[in-house]
Amino acid sequence: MRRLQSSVDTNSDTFKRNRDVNMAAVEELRDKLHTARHVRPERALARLAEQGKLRVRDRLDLLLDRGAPFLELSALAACQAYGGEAPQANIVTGIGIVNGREVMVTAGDSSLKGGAAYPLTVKKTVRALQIALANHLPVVHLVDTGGAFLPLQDELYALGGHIFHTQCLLSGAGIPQLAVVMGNCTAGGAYQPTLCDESIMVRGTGFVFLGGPPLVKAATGETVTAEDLGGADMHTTVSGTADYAADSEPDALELARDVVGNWARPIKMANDRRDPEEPYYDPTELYGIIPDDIKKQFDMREVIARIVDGSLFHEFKPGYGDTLVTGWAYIWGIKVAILGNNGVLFNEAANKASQFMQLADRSRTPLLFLHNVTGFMVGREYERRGITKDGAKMLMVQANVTVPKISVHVHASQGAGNYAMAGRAWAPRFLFTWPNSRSSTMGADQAVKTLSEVKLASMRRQGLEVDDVEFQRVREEVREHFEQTAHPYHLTSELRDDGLLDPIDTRNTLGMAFSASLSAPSERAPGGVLRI
Amino acid sequence: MSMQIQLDGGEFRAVTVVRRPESSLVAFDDNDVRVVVSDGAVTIDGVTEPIWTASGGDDVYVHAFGRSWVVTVVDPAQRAAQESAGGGNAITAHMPGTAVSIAVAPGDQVNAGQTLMVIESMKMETPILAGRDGVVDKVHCAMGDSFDRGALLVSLIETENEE
Amino acid sequence: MTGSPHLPDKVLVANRGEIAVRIITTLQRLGIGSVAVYHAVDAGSRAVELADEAVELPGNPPVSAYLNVEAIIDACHRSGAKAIHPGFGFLSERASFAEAVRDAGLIFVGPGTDAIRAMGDKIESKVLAARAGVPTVPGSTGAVDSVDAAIAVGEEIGYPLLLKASAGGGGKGMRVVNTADECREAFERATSEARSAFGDGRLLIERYIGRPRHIEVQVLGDHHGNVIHLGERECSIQRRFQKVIEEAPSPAVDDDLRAEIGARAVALAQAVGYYSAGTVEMILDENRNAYFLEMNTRLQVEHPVTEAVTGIDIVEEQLKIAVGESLSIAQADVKIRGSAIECRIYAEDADAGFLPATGRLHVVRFPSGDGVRVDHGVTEGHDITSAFDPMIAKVITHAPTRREAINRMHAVLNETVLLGTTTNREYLARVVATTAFGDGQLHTGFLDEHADELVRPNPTRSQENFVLAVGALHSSRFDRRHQLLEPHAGMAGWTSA
Repeated sequence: MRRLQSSVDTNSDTFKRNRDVNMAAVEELRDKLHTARHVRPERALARLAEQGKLRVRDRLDLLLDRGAPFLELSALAACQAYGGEAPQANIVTGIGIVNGREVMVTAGDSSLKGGAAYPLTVKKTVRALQIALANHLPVVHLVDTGGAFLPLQDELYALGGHIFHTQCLLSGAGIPQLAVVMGNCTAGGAYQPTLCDESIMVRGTGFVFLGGPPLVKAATGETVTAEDLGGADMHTTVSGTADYAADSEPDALELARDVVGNWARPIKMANDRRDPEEPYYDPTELYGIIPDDIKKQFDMREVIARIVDGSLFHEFKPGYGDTLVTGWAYIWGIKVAILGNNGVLFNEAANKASQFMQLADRSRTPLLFLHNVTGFMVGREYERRGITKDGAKMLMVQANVTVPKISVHVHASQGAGNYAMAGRAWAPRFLFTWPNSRSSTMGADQAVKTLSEVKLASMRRQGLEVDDVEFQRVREEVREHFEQTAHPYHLTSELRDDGLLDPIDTRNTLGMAFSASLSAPSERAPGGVLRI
Repeated sequence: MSMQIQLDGGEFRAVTVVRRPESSLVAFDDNDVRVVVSDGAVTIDGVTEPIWTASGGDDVYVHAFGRSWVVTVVDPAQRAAQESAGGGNAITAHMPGTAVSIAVAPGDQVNAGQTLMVIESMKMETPILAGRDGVVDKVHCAMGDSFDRGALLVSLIETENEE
Repeated sequence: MTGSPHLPDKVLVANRGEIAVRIITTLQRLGIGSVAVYHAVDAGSRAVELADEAVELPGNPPVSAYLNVEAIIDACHRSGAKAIHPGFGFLSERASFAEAVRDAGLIFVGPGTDAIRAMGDKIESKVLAARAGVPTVPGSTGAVDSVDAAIAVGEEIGYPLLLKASAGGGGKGMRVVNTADECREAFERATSEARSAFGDGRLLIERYIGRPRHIEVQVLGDHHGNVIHLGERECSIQRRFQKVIEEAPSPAVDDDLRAEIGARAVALAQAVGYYSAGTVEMILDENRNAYFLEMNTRLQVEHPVTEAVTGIDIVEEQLKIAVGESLSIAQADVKIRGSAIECRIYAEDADAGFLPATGRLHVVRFPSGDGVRVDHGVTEGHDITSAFDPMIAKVITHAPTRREAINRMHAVLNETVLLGTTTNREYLARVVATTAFGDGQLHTGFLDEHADELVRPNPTRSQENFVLAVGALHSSRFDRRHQLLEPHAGMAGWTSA
């Protein structure tokens, strides 16, 4: 493995312009993240304190190992939904370390609207559990929710069942779950802690009941206190629905650490590991390498060089299919097989990818897809050479590999190129995006042109006159809508990715994500490697 | 996990440890200390000192800077549980039974863990122990008496809460 | 090789701990078989492991095993040992034991029974000593019953005087008076104090020595009447009459004084027909007058400092003497080279009234090297209990000058690691580091006089944090299974954006 040679000129105007734009984008990202995570009205915080509840971030500090990393996922979920009423969709999810062990944590944030569960809250929770299931990560649920947000109940009712179903599947797969009940678990929500292997309830604030006191009174006329109906003492000494009662949240979280510490450490998938090493090149140079416009190109190797250990890379088949870079590297000491785009996918690139992915699968090396693709090549020559067939082969191989796949939208991720590079629908274990990235069916210009023509044709059919001004207005409208929906903020808000990253955090993010992915056992598929 | 730590019988402080292969982190309330351990020496804050250690129960004996020290680490949860379980003044029956023998009388000085009486229940004899050092105030049952679960058996003279 | 034709081929050591180890070491060097006796609690001890054979002795409490005359002699017969070395303490100065051993046809490695008896008798020994030119501290020959009698004594022996209760000690009824007037004034008060403390108001009077120095002379005699001395030791550093630090030679004794007190000690030894090793203990006053205290008819704890400066193995000499050899060393051959210091490490808490400490010695590490000798009987895992005296080890340093011996001792004490119970190790290091000790300004009240200087200094904040951190890391309370592995270990505290 050799160190990649960089040809980036950090003094060029292009570099500086890119850097300014990208750093501004990152600053905007950090602002949004900070606000979503930490900014809450005073009275909301005061109410939490009155209830004897800690802020969700403080709970995480007490649960997780001091000085250990935390990979938060989908931090900007719901950032463009519900009028901003539910920052982070009222729940924090992420991979943290408890007593040395990786766990998926879901932690309800009840500071706003009592922590009501919106449709995106449910989606975010389900996504976290799906990641846990796929990667065999134990789960710790810090449950504190206000129940379903009833005005949107039709959007979340059926969806909500996925939470409990996935919990059952986790259990069936032998993956431990712990719940710490620090708020209400009412109706369906009562099943969340009860389906866990172990559960801790906080006296005075943790309640589990199918119907709360008002509902019980309305249904049967019985008068009963919340404590008596479903409090910690009742469930841990009489009904046996929960396992441990704690006097306070800090006590409960201390106990949670003990419980997790008691779980066996997973046996990780074998991987050709070595000692981690910082990249040779400065990762902050990424800001200057990534172009300020989605249509502009750059060499993906420059990005790879600033993410991988020692900037070392063993490129596979460099002279063939040069619009796709393939090769091996280490990230935080873990061996990975990387595919990165340097242009559209031609026949050769697609076939190289198919061959390479088979090699990765045979050697049990996890795959990393770095997206900068607008699609496959179109045209008569390429069709005659079977570009669609070659694309299909690439999709088939990619879908059936048995090693973990992780994708990052580095720049453009459009059309079938997104599919081929293991986009969202292709079940990568994790999908992350960069602020400069855009993802849609096709490029904006092309889309605007096509959509505008369609719209204009329709208007003409209705007998409407279209002048230039109108023409422009229509184009602008289409463009705006297109840009907004291709933007990573939109995607991340809708849970179409697992997190929007500052590019320089990519290395640590991938280190944690790959490390987590190795906990799931997998079997090699039989058969030799086809030189496609 | 958070423990309580004291040096040579001094004040207790809270402490947590995060172990890493190369350098571990010892976190006190007011400051974090990075500790690098290598053959028989420990480096903290650039200061490398040869050390010797040995453990006995809750104590770790340390030889450093030419001095011998004793570091005691206790689990606050365990200590609290011990105190609340039997460290109070009232010693009650944890199951119904009969008093088989009574070993103490009012005014007796007792030590934590000392047998106060023996009860029989379900064909098993169980000693009832004092949860803390103290002086017996009253013995609430006589030999041969039967009692229910939760019945008060022995009470110690109330003392001020220790730290 | 079984040693010279005269030496016994097997010797039983009727003792335990460090002295048993020390004696066995010399036996092994001379190719002589060694038999250790032990009580069950000492079954795993160093002495038992080192000895060629070991015999268990019955008894409860454990000390009684080492005082069991019949069992010890029986063990000797059964093992075929021809001689018994009693060490110090236990039966070493019990004349009846020496007699029983000899009556049993065995060799007692020590002085004659008569000499033991004579020197064991407080009155007779003082008479003999006076005759040999080592008078005791001048004083009244019995209780003084009146003020006038007291004044008369003062006139006779000279001031200052010490009035003390004849019925007891501990400072009750004690008074120091410098003149006849003071004596007159103090007599009544001392008498009534003594009466109320002990029920007996009688007083003794002796010359008061303000800063006495404890000086003792090592003597060696053979069966042929030859007696030599091996120079003096100073043992002034004492606590409650227990020696803590000893040295040879004494900083207060020059060649002339050495020759003088040496000659007198030899004279005393010869007066009782003394053979084997013995020590004549004296008090030196500020005018360098020596007064007799007592004679110990055995090997002493602090003998190593004499061995260091003379190069003579006293136990080896004892063995040769015991089989009737003449002394192989003449007085003129005895040379004092350099300076040696011994510190006794006890299991006690010097910062809390020297309360004896118990516990298990988890770690035992003694430094070694040029001019360093450590006599000890402990091993790692050894339990210190209240069954025996709490001495853990003797550390001896020897160097060309006293200053170097002190520096070496200080370094050795700092590097000695004893973990698992409290010891006086650091206290000893503080003592030898004082200016007064360095200047040789010693007297039996030294430790009390300098008590303030010897208080344990507070550690620095950074030392405290250091030790706490080390302790936390090594505590079994923090489960080692919960280690952070890579990549998390390397990503200290990182969170995404």
